[in-house]
Formats: sequence, structure tokens, C-alpha cells
Amino acid sequence: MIDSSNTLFEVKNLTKIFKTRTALGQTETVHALNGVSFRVPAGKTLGIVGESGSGKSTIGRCVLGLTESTSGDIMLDGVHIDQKNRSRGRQFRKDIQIVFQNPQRSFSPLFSIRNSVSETLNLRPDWSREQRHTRVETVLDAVKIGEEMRNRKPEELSGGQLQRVAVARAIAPEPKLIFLDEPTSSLDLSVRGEILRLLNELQKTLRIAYVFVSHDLEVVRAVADDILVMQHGKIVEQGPAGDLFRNPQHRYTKKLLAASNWQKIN
Amino acid sequence: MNKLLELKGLEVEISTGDGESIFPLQGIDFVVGENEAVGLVGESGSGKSMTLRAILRLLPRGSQRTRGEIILSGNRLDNSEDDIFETVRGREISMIFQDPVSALSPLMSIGDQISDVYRYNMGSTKTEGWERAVNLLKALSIVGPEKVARRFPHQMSGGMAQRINIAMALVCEPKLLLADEPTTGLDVTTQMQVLELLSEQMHQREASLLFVSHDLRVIGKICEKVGVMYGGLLMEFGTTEEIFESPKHPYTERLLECARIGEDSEPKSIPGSVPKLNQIHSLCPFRNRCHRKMSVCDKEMPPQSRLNDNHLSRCHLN
Repeated sequence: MIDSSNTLFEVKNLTKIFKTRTALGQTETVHALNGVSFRVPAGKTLGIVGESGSGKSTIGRCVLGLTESTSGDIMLDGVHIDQKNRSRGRQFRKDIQIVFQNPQRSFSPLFSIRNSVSETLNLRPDWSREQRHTRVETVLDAVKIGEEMRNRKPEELSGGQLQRVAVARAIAPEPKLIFLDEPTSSLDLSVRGEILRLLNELQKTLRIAYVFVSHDLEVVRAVADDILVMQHGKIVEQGPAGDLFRNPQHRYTKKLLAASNWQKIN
Repeated sequence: MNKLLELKGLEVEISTGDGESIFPLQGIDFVVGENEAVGLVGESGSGKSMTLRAILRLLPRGSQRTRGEIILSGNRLDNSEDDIFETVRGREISMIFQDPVSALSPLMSIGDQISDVYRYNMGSTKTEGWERAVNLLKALSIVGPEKVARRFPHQMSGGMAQRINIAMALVCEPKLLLADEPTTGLDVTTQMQVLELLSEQMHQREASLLFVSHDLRVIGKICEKVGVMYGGLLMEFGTTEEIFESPKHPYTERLLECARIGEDSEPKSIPGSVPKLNQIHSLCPFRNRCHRKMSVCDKEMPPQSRLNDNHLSRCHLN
């Protein structure tokens, strides 16, 4: 179980309410997140599973500051990441990075691989030009993207290779936390394991914390220390990965487990 | 087992316009029996979807079937005239696609779309078609079928929209349903519901299913037999049990390792990348990624060998 003494990242009572207007002009409120709390220690992985619309991605959007939460606290290293404090927002951007589901759509088609990665380093004005140069090559080495691929455009790389570049881009500014939004769902089975292993390896050496979102429990099991199961904007079950698999409590968790087994439907 | 669909040496060629060609299918042979569910698995570009499209003559522009036979209930489909084939497509063979919402027309109500398919193929009246649509929605456990029939696709969730597509595909009582990754975009729990429904309907109607997916678990949930495709070739074909429990082809072995994530073991992958399809393979397309490669693999193309009545494998090991 996660030890609270070395908490790196903490979310307390996070709530996000969307107001939409119906065709008749009435206001409807949607509780996308309803009092969500969790902790992630440095160097550990929290897995979040749940169906679409359960609020997984909204957590990501709030954490990255892409949307403002209605209430609740998001803290990194004990410091509030406050939306309203814009200058702070920029500072946190280097600390929290993201890897998206579809690598083909998360790179500019006009930038070479090398330029895509080096652009992220604008988040590190404290580094010299030289330092940034070396950093780009170091992270591309770390994800085993060879010299010959670095001047190519995204379309010339396969999905698996490009997702490795996305991981390199995420680790480049030396973040403390990476939000991984279904990073293997659009990849072939044959390369999925490669990305999962890479993430595990990098975590060991760099002690980055991950929040790993997926709808596939099996994938989450391969990487997560703790798992959080969400439904309709709420956490329905939360615990160490092993326990959750051995002894699921909530009906929805059991359903998820049944969906990810290999048994034939009668 | 009676044969419903038989593919013999199916080959497809796509001209890329600059005088070059791509060969996405390089000789596919397998049989789908009556009242049987067969799955096709493989990495992207292995030819799974192309096989379905070749059967229904829905190949992309610039591509053509160059060789091979497609036989449905003893009749050659591949050399029939287009207008005769029209009576087969939709009526005897139908198809569901990966993206359920974009497979529906945004301008027509659900009920009209389903009943149109019936009216076009069976020449029925409007009322008859509508009744059939509503009954079918009811059979697919849709709550308030009359109400849903009057709704439009944008008002549907993904799972609901896929059920509508299944209804459209089943409305003419086809003998064979082709499904191209029908549950890939859905949530795992919704995916289960759709698979259960699909499996139930196929059994009730005694129809056959040819189901394409990259997800071995999904195939395992509803198919009796599995074909494993790679580089436009069928590498192995057998009962789901045989393929999953004792695969004979190294590619199948590796793919299963990748699919099964254990609690304690490292997630597996297959190094290397899928082969180019710009020429007909003269050697096994998997040899450069194969962990059991032998010297003969660089000399000869392995033949497709029959291990028992139901089990085929294309490897020098067998």
C-alpha cells in the first residue's frame, strides 16, 4: 500500500462540474468528477481504470491545468498547483508531462523527431542551449530511437517507435510525474509490451511517478502499484494492485475483471 | 461440419499509381463452417480486414482480387456478375464495421435505416420493414424499441450504435456475418455486452460469423476457430482451444505471449517490424523476427501443412 510519508502528488476532493445548456435553454449540470482523492508517491505508479465518461481523462485535464477544477486541491510536493496563478502554472508544466493515446496525432507532422523533442525543452529556460542539445540526444538514446530516425518526420515512424518518442519527449524536461492516457491502446500487441517495459525501466532509473489511465485492467496490472477504479465521476474501489485482482469488492470491478479474462462466452 | 464459406488461394493486389504494387493478401485458404464462429487475428497490415473486404467486394479503389476462389454454399461468388452479387451482399452475407456511429447515416432515424435495408433487399412494404426493425431492436435487448427506432445516430452511445449496426446486419437473416473489429472502440464492459449479444444472436439464427480483431481475448470469447494472419498470409488456423493452448507456429506463440500479461512476468513484445508487402513473399515473412529461425527458412517458403483435420500451420517446424 502507498505510504503517505513520501507523497509526491496528491489530489484531494477534486470535483469538476460541467454546465451545459439543453435545446430548451435549461441548464444541466454534469458531475464529471465527484470528490476524487488519491496520492502518488515518488517513483510509483497509480493506475486508473473505468469506462468512458467515468472521469479518467477529466482528472488528467485538471492535473495538467487544461481545465479548471470546480473545487478541490491538487498538490505537487506539498505545493498547490493553482490554476488562477498563471506564472506558477508554467513552472509546473515541466514537472508534469503527458503521453497521449494516439502517437500519430500527438506530433506535429512538420517537425522532425528531434525538433519535436527539443521543443519541449522550452519549459527549461534554466538550461543552456548546450545542455538542451545534449538532453534531446540523451532521452532519445534512453528510448532506443536510433540516430537514423531522429531527422525523420513522424509519418515515417511506426506507431510503436513514435510512442517511444512520445515517452522521450515526456521525460525530457525531467518531470516528477507523467500522466499516461491509454498509452498502449492504439498499438499492436507485438509492441505493447515494449512500451510497458520501457516505462517500467525508466521509472526505476529516473524515479518518475506515473498516473496510468487505461480501460484494460490487464495492462494496468503490468505497471501499477495501486489501482483506482472509477465510475460516474466517483472512485468506487481503490487499493494495491495485487489485492484488487485477488479480491475485488465492488460490482463494477468484478465486471471489469470478467471482461478482461480469456474465458469463452457461453 | 458443412462448409458455408470457403476461401481458396485468395490474392489481392493494390496498384499505388507509380507503377508499383502492394500485395496485401498473398494466398488465403480457410473454411468457415455452418453455424460456426471463426476469428482472424494479426497485427495491423496483416490482411485481416482486407480478407473481409475481398469477400464482399468492398476493396479500396485501385485494388483488385487477382487470384483465388470465394465459395459460398457451393457456389462461386468471385466470378459472379455484379448484379447477381448484389443479391448476396446484405441478404446472405452482411458486415459490421469498427466505428459504429460513422457506419450509420446521420440523416435518417434508426428505424428507417434498419427497415430500408430490409425493403431494399427483400422488397417489402414500409410498414413491414418498420415492424421488423422494432422487433429486432427488442431482440437485441434495447429498452423501448419503438422509441429508439425514432431516434437518430447522434443520440446513441457507442455500444447502442453498435447494436443498431448488428440489427441492420441481421435484418435479412444472412447466413454469414462479417465483423471488422466491431468492439474495438467500446469500453470493456460494453464490449462484453455486445459480444454476448452477438454470440447469442448467431446461435439463435444458426448463422456463421467471421470476426476480425487484433484482441486475442475477444476472439477467444466468441470464436470456435482462429486464423492467425501475418504479412498477407495465413500462418496458422485451428480450433481456438488448440491455437491458444498448443500453438504450432512460432508467430502464434509470440503473439500469445504478448497478449497474456502475467502478474509477475515482464510484458512481452516481438522485436522488429512487420514485413513490406511490395512483392510476393518468396520466403517466410516472419523469419527475421522469429526466435526459432532455421537455415532452411532462408532457402524455401514453408508450405501450409495440415496437422490434423482442423489444424493448419505454415512453418518448416511442422
